[in-house]
Amino acid sequence: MKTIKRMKKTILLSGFLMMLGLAAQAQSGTITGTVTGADDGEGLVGVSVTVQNTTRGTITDINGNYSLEASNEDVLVFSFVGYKPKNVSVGNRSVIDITLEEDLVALQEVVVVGYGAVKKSDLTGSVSSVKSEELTAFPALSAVQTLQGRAAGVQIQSNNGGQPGADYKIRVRGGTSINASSDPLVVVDGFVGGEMPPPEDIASIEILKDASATAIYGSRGANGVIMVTTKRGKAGEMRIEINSSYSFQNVLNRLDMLNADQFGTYIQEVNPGYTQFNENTDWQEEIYRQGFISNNQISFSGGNQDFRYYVSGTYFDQDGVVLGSEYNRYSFNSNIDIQPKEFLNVGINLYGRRGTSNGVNTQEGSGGAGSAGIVSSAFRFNPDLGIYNDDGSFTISEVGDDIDNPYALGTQYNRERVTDRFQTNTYAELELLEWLKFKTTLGVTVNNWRDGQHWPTTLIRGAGQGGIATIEARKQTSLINENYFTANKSFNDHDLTLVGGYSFQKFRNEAWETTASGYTSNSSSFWGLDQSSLPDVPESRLSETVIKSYYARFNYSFKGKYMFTFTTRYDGASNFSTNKKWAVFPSGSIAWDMMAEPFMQPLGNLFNQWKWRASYGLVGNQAIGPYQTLSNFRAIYASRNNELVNAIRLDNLANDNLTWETTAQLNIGADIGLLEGRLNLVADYYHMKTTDLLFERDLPAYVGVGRQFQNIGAIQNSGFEFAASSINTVQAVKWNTDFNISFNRNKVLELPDNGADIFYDGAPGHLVLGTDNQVIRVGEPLGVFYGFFYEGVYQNGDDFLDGSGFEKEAGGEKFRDLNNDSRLDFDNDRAIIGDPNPDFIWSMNNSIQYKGFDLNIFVQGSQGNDMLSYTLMELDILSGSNNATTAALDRWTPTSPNTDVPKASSGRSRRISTRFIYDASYIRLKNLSLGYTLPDQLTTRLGLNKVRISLSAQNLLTISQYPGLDPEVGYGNDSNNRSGNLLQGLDYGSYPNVKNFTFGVNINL
Amino acid sequence: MKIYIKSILIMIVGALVFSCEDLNEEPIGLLIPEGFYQTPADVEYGLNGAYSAIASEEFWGRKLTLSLLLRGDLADIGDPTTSSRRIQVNEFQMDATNGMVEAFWPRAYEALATANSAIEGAKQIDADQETKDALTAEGYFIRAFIHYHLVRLFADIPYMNFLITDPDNAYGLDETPVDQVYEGIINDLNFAKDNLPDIPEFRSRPGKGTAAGLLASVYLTRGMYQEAYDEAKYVIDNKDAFGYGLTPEFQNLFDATVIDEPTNAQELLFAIDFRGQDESSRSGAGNYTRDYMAPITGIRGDERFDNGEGWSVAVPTLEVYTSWDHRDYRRAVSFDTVTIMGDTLTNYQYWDQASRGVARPHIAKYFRAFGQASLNGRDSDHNYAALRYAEILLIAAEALNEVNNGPNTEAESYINEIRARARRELDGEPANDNSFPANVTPGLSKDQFLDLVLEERRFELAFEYKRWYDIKRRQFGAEAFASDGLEPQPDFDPDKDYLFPKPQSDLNLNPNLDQNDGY
Repeated sequence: MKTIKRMKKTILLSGFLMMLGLAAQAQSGTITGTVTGADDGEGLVGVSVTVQNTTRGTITDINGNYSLEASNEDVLVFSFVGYKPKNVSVGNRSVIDITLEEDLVALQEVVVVGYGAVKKSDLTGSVSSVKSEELTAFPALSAVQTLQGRAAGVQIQSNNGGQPGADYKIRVRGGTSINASSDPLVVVDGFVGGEMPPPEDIASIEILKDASATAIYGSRGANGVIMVTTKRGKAGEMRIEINSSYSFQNVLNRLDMLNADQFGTYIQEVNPGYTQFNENTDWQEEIYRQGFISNNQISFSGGNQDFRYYVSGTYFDQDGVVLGSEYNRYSFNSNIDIQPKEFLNVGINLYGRRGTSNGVNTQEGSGGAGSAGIVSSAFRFNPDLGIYNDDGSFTISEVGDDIDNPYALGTQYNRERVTDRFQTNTYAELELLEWLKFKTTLGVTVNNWRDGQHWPTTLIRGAGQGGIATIEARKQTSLINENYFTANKSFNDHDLTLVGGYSFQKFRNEAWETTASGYTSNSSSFWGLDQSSLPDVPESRLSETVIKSYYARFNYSFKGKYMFTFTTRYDGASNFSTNKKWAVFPSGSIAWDMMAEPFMQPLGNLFNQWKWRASYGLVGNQAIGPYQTLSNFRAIYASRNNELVNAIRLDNLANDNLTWETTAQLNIGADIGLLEGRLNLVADYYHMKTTDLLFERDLPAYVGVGRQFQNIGAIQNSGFEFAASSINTVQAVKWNTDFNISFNRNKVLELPDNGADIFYDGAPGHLVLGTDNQVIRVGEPLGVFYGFFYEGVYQNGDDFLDGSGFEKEAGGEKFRDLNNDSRLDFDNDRAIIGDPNPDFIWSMNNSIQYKGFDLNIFVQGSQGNDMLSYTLMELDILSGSNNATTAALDRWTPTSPNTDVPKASSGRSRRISTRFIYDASYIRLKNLSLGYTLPDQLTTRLGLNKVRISLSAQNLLTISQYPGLDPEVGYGNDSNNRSGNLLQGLDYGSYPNVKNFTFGVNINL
Repeated sequence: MKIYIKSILIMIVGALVFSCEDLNEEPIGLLIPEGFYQTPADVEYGLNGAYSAIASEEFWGRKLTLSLLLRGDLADIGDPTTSSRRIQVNEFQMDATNGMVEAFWPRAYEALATANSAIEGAKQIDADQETKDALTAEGYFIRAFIHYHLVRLFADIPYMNFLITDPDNAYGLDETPVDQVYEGIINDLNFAKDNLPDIPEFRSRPGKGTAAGLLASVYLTRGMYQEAYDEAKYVIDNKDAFGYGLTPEFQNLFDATVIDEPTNAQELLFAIDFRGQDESSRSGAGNYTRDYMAPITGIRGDERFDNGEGWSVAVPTLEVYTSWDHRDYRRAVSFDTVTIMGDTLTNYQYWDQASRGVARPHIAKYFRAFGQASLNGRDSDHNYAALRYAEILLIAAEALNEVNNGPNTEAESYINEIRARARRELDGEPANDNSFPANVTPGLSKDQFLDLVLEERRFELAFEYKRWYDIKRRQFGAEAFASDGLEPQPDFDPDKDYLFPKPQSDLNLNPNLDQNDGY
């Protein structure tokens, strides 16, 4: 009924316009009809039906019906994405039914780039597109998770296994920095730095990879740009969509640990005085449980020519597989587009969300006394102890460091983080002239989070201090204003587009935190810090940043055959140093559609498209934090007459010439379409060199300030990406395959101090390794591991190598003497022993549809990446400080010497060697789903439009040689840690990865 | 059309509103050097920073002082499982990557940089010349104090009497030869002597006498005995004006609970002030006012205190104890020989029953009375005497002996003053005084008197980080570390071991720095 009302309105308006003096028409009448698709004969909803050369038009409804005023001389234009358009003269007919044919050649597709959208056929840069269906293939908190494996050159990995609310690390074409962040820029509907909305609200994601596409984001484009476009309302009847899915989660993998008897025997070999306790506990069993996710979304969208809306709300709730971890999120998102006048489009987007996570301590920086995380404790803790002592208190480790038992950690430690975000983005687009548009946008985002932690007296850390509580909070506001002109002119065979604009962005970050200990009871948790007897000095910080930019892009295309793009951005940022506040980032690219050339006609049957692309440009990585280029003092204190008095010390030496990091990127690629678009290939070769790397360089001690930020160093990333999508069969059984594979080689080119090696380590502090186990070395990739070569176990009669701290007896660890001096020492007998960067990453997606059924198989893999497992080192060093894996059952004993697991020995120093470096290549069946869309007759009887139910499994199968928990972990890489490229492939105490079984329902009303 | 124009105008205005802000950073919540020094109090914050760097774990709290203690022949390694960097210092096996040097070298220069910043600041403030000079004098004193330690340990060093603002200058800085360093030190101390107050507000801050006293020590090290005597005499003559004298009860100098009382503090010319137990309220703020010498010298297995046991890291050889006359009260103050272990009084011979215990008498000056402290006695309330009046008397005696080629009554009187104090018993009643150590026998030769003074320095200033410097300036290492010496150390090499190696990290960064011979 509403549709008819709206129809009446449209007709009235059209009639009114006609009376204003448009070309006199002959007889006009109402034309009606149905538009169906050639593939399945079903009505097509949303097909645009317009009267050619006028502004009159309408959209087909749910059943493909339309109704429109037109005269006999008029030509109706039917167009719809994915179908070949049709023009039909009205003539004498009053009912015109049309069948549209599928257009497999998706050249008309429009791709979102910075400050505009470009037809895919005109694109000269390297951009990967990911559609909504791929982003919602399985329930996920964040679209980043479902983006994994969907785009060539984009490597995504969870930072902490299956932790609810875990961060993901995204790398586009490798890590371009050593000390600064390599995270790509996220732009949501043009809002630079916006937050990624829930996957259900996303219409598409474009990943801009090469300089031609990213240079328009100037000093922030070096790590790639992720452009997110959210769903918007389309004219037509209101559509209601409900998506629900429910998943059961289970831990993917467990470590085989020793049981109580095996443990007792092992410890007694190291410490004969040890008496085994009476229990036998499987600690992993105590802390793991079945997890559950429920993800629900409802959205309303619709509208008409003048007013379109999309409103959606989601609720996501997850109980993690580890005791005590959960996450939930409420969000709403609404897009409203209004066209009050023909020449004016305005719109507003409102997005809000609240996420609450209750977490456990995993991937701890140091797991010494009282600081163990829950997962590493489950491995380390005595299996011969129960959860409780006789007096009801929780047991504490009886070997090695004093650590809490994992059940105590799961139930007693309280950590809650609540994040609220509110984001709004408004735009107004004015058509000044037919070929000139002006758009202005204003976006504001407010992001607040609060994080509280409480260690009660039942845990070791809180016991000595009467309980410890911490509260930390952030309040972050940002505002962005963009203003740009777009000019489009076509004449003869030339198409020109020019975009030019100005952008202003301001950030304000407030932070405060405080800790206090010594409470009368544990019940207040972290509320009530004033009840403590020992408060810490609270901290508060403020920083503000302003960025101003001017940007321009020029596109030129001749006959759609030769295309040329030039972009540039002039960025000024307050973070930059006094002498270098402004930066220019230009780029240029050309493309050539070879198939449009006459000399390629003979191959025209095989290839429908062969476009070559080449681009080169400069992009930047801001890298410099606020106030980092200034000198400052640090407030310390001194004792004077036994009282504390204020004092200062020098903290930072100004660097007035500090600049951002610059990446020069060359990209050469080809888009090839074969068999009338049945097979599409995209191949890219790229070479990126990043210079002026930001380093905190050591100053000689006599300067009085330890270090200063300087630009020294260069790093290179080069590689090859290949993606293929093929439509294998289109008849009754439809089968599509998408495949992509990426190779990236990362290499350090230049380092400060004449290329001297820089050693570092990311090991958990309590392991007290004493030396650095990783190195940044010229000529090698970032993140390589450095250590000894393990050669097995010494046997009786072997030549024992000398060296302080090394074993010199049968059953001890044997290492290789690299410099042949019959001595083992740290300086001369270590080398690079592993590389966490993969040789290549790949993924393959197969979808098959038959009648109402659809089957989707998504496989993803990584090959050639090494892992350094601190977990396995701590467990299998066999020095009697904690439990060990069942590998310990093979340990050397005088009666069974044939093994490469050394004997149990209390004096063994912990050191990194090839013994704990593993090949972590894997192939994973990421998603396997079977869906069924109910037949139309059934759904219409229920009064619905479409109902689909699905059963799917995530991470169902993993093939990997890695003996640890899971090859996808990222110790040392939380979102506050900037060393994302230096610490890769490390495993310690990570939250386990999970296998999901999911049931989903999708209903369209 | 109107709407059309209106829309454009609104949008243009909207765009312009946001372009007013400039890109200069104005941090709030950060202390910026420009415009920081406005008043004398601001300069004092800078000077406080320098004192704080001195009173930090890496300098006077442990790393420097432990190195000096172990290097001399009065303290050996107790627990052999302690960290190797300490063992290297003790046994003359140091290399350029030694962890002790790598810690106190930067801290020393941090103090120098902060002092130089304060000195610069003093020029800028709005105050009368006298106040400015007094603050500058304090800064100069700190500079001289630090350089004096560095030059004795490392010989040629980067001499910092200015602030480096351009790091490119830093990487090529030339080191200053020893003689020039001493020239600078002496100039600084002379200015300090002229402009510091007679009586400073606190014992941890220098006065005229402090500067003169340090100057005396500098001259003595340089072999300029007349000047050394002149400076020492200046302090001795003005001791009442400056408020100096020998603390009547020797034990109280090493008792953190009473050191602040004026009777006990009177001997301190310059004290390094530590404040106890401020660890937990200032977590993460750095190692300022945190000292560890109590647990370092304390007894493993000791049960006297709630804070727990010591670590027996630096323990004198038995020879040091047995060669010290048992009648000397100072031996009883300096050594612990009996403690509570296993709930019973235990003599030192049985102290190895404790895990990692050492069966020798231990140093008592720091562990016996550390006041408010944290676990094991760390982070204590001690005020360490970096320079005390007794040493001025000893300098005067030694210098006079050199100048006159033999002792005279004056020189002997100084030694007698010290011995008189050492004869005191705990009750303060002169009638109950010991008779040992007796006054000096007159008529000794120059060399005999020199030996007597050096031995007196050993007993008086035992374990106060003076012994190594004495060995070095009088070059008797070969005897001290011989197999029949107080602490046999076979690896002692007189060509190399009178100096420490400079840290490799700075040598790598600046090719103009030269390593000391033999390293």
